[in-house]
Amino acid sequence: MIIKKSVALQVLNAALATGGDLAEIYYQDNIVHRYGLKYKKVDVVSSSKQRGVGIRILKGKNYVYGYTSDLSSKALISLASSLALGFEGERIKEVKDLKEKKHGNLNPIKIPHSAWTTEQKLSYLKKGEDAAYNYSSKIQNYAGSLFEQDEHVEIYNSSGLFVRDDRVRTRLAVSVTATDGTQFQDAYQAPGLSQGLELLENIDIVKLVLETCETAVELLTAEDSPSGNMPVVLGNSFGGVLFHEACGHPLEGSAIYRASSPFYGKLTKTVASSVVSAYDDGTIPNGWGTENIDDEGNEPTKNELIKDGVLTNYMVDEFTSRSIENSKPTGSCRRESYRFAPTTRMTNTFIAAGDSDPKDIIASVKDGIYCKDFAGGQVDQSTDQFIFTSTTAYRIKDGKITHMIKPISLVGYGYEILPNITMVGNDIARAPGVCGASSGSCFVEVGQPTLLISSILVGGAGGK
Amino acid sequence: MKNSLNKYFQKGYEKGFEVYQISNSNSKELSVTVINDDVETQTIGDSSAILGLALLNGKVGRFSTDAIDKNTPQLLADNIAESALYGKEEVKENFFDGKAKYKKAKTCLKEFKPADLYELRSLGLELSKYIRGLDKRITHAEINLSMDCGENHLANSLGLKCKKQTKVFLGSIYVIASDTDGEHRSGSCMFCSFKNLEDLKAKAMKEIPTAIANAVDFFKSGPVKGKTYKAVLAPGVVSALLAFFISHLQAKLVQQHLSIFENKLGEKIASRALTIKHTPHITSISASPYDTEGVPTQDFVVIDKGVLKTYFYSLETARYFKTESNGCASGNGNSSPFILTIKPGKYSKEDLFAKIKNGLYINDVSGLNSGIDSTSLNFSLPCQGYVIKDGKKDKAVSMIIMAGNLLDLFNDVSYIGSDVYDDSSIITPSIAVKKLQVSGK
Repeated sequence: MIIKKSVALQVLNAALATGGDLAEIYYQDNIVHRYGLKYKKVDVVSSSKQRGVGIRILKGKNYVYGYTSDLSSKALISLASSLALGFEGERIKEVKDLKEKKHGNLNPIKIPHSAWTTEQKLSYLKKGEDAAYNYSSKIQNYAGSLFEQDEHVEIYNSSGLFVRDDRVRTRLAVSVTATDGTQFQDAYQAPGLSQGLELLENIDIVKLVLETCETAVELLTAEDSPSGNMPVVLGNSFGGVLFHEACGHPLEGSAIYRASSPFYGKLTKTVASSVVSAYDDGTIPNGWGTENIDDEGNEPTKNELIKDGVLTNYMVDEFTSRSIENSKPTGSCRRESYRFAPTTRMTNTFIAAGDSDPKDIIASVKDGIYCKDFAGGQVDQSTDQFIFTSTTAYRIKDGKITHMIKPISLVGYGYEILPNITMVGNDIARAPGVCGASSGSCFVEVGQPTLLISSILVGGAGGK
Repeated sequence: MKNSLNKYFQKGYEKGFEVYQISNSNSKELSVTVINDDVETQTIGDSSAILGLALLNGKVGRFSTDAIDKNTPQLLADNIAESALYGKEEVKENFFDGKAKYKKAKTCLKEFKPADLYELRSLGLELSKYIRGLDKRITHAEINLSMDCGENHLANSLGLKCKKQTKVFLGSIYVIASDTDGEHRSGSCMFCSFKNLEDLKAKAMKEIPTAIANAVDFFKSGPVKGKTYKAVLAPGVVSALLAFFISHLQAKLVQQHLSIFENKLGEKIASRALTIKHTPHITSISASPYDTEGVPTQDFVVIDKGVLKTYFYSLETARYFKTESNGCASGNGNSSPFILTIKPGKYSKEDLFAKIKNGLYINDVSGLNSGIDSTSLNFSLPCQGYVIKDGKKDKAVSMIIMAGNLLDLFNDVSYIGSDVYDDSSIITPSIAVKKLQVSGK
């Protein structure tokens, strides 16, 4: 225990003084190292240590939250007492002991970050640099970076729970800029997992960089995209950002308990085409969004959200479960840091594999678009209008991919698009991302197989 | 900070740092969220953070932490020294000695009157009741109010020593309106005050009608035909787009031959209608008397009647281009402006509608995190607004996407409005553009 048991008990009991029914202490110690090459030089070698405490008090359907980077017992008790003043009432609960709850390890680490020297890490990135500049004289810039996170969290609450977790993540990012003298085009890839440096050993950085260079150079001659409603084939892996934006966010407890989601009250109802099943699965070993416990101490679950087109569950945390009938926490309450109150967030969210061969999916489209790579997106949780952007896209004519087009945005309403998914491929893959919402930026995986949307609005600049 | 600063510098001296720079920030936050007349959340925050960077054997090391206690000076020095072993190559001249005059930024006014959680709650509840009483279709009124007080100290071993304070009330409102058919629409607004809660309330009252209109006006709205339109872009839309356009004026990008504005100083890069100034000292949460290197921020013209006058420099890039830093450093040799102000024109919004006669008024845009490619400046963004018919605002339009390239867009500006919008970092009026490609029906 980083916070002494006697201090933790004092803090929790101070927090409960005015009738709170649950008090919680969240301790975080997060060390991040960054290494980067850019424009043929070392651009950054830096590190940071974030350490602090968040205290949350729940009373019925309201809560107060406070945070501090001062870990002295005086500061923590003072914060808890100040927070308790946010409620009016008498004590209804006292916590007398804390017992550690053990859990398994979903993210075994083979090579810790300390196993390689800084020089070895920069040399690894340098292999990508050499490959990029040898690929073509059109490559104006290569940026390679490595992100390492070693985080320790502890959670203590007034139910007597004490639980801790170590979270290790590694992510490689390569970005290249190509130019023909009149314009610039970027391409980017960034694989990452809840692993140690074995991630780098399992990636051929030269191959990754060459693929990225190929895309950037090809984009220089890409044509403008057509615009309007048309069939779109979404490639696998990061194409799952569609489900993340259009359906994942509106299925989070924070949207459901306020009754502001279009999926509110739709449990057991058909919300998607029968070929669609989807999950938020926080139990995937070494998944980028996998943690052994969530940020209120619950173990993650494989949460089936949609089964054969029927809505089967939401994602829920302790606070939102109090307002959502017949619900219980699904182990996906998360936050960026101790400075954020936690709320329901996605972990590893994906559409499950179907039966179709991806080649057959493309062959079925007479006049449409194939989106291969994606940047990210955004959703308005009240209307469920989403946008996401494809950075590498191609025209499909008469069932064949013809030529590359410039990046495009796809826009629609989640509840309208889900029924328009008419074919689902058998090639599921997942990719890491960073999701921003009310509890800050969280690491999530998105995923899906190749799939066909029969009609969606495409925002092009007027191409044919 | 004075006494503890010496401890940091002493540890740096022991490590052999040639220059040692410390940035120390403290902030206190009180905030409330009121949803539909219920105080749902209240937050009390108190945190500090320290960032150190140092020059050692021609390389720079850096480390930041909010774990501040008696061990931090040693922790910082150890980690910086380790990071400097393989860090970015650097020279002493890229650190500033502080020998300059600083102009005060208006972020901590004498009139500032702090509030407590009770007062924030009371105002939140009052605004919630007011909004819900304005229109029966408002089914969700969410009010976020906060008081943020912070200060930053920046010092280095060459003699630099500067400080700034910010005391501000921030507010945001998010409403959802629902019609009888179950259609939902949302609207939002943001506002701030450097004075007191009464002033914050007045600012909120001014913004609330627009937030509600952005929700209720759009029931049963839909797309227009996809084609090229003349258009008026609302200030919030201009501000969002201009931020990407201006990003190519970072001197580092120019140095690395990655800017579309390389070798364009003195040349026309935008419409003659556009004049843009750097105004870093006005009352705004983005205001600052100094940049991340401690160089004083400055007022200067960036674009004069479409002609590029300067890039944004740090000490490193200024040295490369054999010029002076204009106080825009944003860290690691990079640069960005603090506050930009577009010179307003003489036309009201209604005048702009009359000028373009038939077209679109775009008053909201989304998807900025992915829909603009900051390298090529190509954009493809969902937006909404109104049809302009015979010079007047007509029916609402939604589910459309505007697409094109920002270089073309800011060269196609035909008229500038007089309706200045006070964003935190870009202050702009509406603008009219000659053509905007829109995807719709």
